Amino acid sequence: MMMDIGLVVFGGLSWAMATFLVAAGLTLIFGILHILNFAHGGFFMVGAYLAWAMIEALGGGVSIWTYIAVALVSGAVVGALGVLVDVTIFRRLRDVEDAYALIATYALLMVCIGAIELIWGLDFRAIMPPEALNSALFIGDLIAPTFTIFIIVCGVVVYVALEVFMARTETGKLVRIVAHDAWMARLLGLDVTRIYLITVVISFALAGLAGGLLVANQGLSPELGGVFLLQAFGVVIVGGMGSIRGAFLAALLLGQIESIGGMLFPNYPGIFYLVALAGLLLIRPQGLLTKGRTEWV
Amino acid sequence: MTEPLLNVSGLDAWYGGSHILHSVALNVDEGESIALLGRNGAGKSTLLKALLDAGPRSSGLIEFGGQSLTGMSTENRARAGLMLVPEDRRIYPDITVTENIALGRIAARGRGASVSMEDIWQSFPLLEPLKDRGGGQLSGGQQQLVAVARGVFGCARLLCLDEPVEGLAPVVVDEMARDIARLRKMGLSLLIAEQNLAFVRACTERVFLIDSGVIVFSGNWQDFDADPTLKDRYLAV
Repeated sequence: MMMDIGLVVFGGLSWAMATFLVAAGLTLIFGILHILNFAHGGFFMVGAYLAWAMIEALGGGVSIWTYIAVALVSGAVVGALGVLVDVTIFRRLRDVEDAYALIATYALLMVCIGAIELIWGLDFRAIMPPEALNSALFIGDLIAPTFTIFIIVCGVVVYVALEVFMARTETGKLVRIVAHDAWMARLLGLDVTRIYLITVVISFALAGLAGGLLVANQGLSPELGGVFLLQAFGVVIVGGMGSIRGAFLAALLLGQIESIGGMLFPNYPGIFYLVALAGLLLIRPQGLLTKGRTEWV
Repeated sequence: MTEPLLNVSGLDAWYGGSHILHSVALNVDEGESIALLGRNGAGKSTLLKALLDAGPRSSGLIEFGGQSLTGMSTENRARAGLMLVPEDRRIYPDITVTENIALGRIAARGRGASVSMEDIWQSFPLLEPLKDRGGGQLSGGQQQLVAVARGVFGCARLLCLDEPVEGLAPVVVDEMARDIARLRKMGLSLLIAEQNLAFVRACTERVFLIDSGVIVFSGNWQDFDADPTLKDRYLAV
């Protein structure tokens, strides 16, 4: 069987970075707050619908810079919703069993879907990528849509920005300190509640940003969040729960596997991802990169 | 007489359904160093954690610097200058010794830094050569010194040490005793939970003895020595 390696790699990268954009905030919030946020896909959709509405209000065809600005605004709005969610819901989940967090965030996902249906209805919506991203580059035999290249670049930029934030900034250092041992951080007088809030806001902003960036080329319906959430969860689990670098690597790996699978068995889209997920978890149940994570009373 | 720096009375504490502390009363004056003695499981750690609201559920009066701590969060108690160095040290492994020590100060910003990093190296001479080493690459004794230094640098007014020399080599125990003597000269108040009598005797002037969550003796070391049954009854293994 002939296989176009360039096409497979490119398709894998496209899957990987789109998924990573959604997974980044999910793994961040799990790594720091130890909350598995089912609502992440819901807020991703809120971001996508917000971006769609803003672009419609601007008359449809927007420039690439407007498109990026709209995605950033979506991120900011969803980040602000994060403040509300942290203060009203997440703060109450810190001293109760994990099962409550699952139920609470699942309920929140329902709220997101319900809100979207109320505001924007059940109809499919679609939007074209900006003019500059609506063509393709021809690299040898490979036809690379510029919008896909754009998404790959966005994924890498978000990843690098998160790494730099965590490694180089004072706030990032405090986030790592709290993730490692929140109890000791409190004994040192650090404002753990504030650091949790910052984490939630960043995570939600990433969900909104991902929605805004990925909105073009998607059939926008209230079910969209579930599809991305499932892939993102796989990436988060394979990467090692809570590890941003792990999620990035897992996205690259699963993307390639999914892409190869799609090429070999075009009639079964998505199945290779699930097989690979199961296989990787059998080999490394703790994930590719596991963080030194400890919990105390 | 001025009011004590720390004043505890009628303090009860629970872990889940087990009632650990029973109406504990204890006080520390400004500049004083106090020993909290008792066997494993007597309630020493629970008492120190209850002071910070960092574990057990508790009720009773805790006043620090003349202010009631009731309803105050762990963070804010620490910011008020009540610092606990836990038994298991909890040094952050991924950052350096200096960064670990500096963490104590972040929250204390603006509270007036009385202790400089230079003072820390002078008080803990063993740590200066290690300042750029990662927290995860230290021996148990070095970690303990860093943990104490971190509390001091956090502008502690009262430093509570939970078994600071447990499991340490004798030479490190002696070093710790010298470091603590230097801290006392700087005017720091201390509350030290220990089982190592020789060490804690050298570092403190008054004793509280706790057994099964009840304070069974309090007084100075002469009074403690005057009643040899105390040691046999409450400290012998």
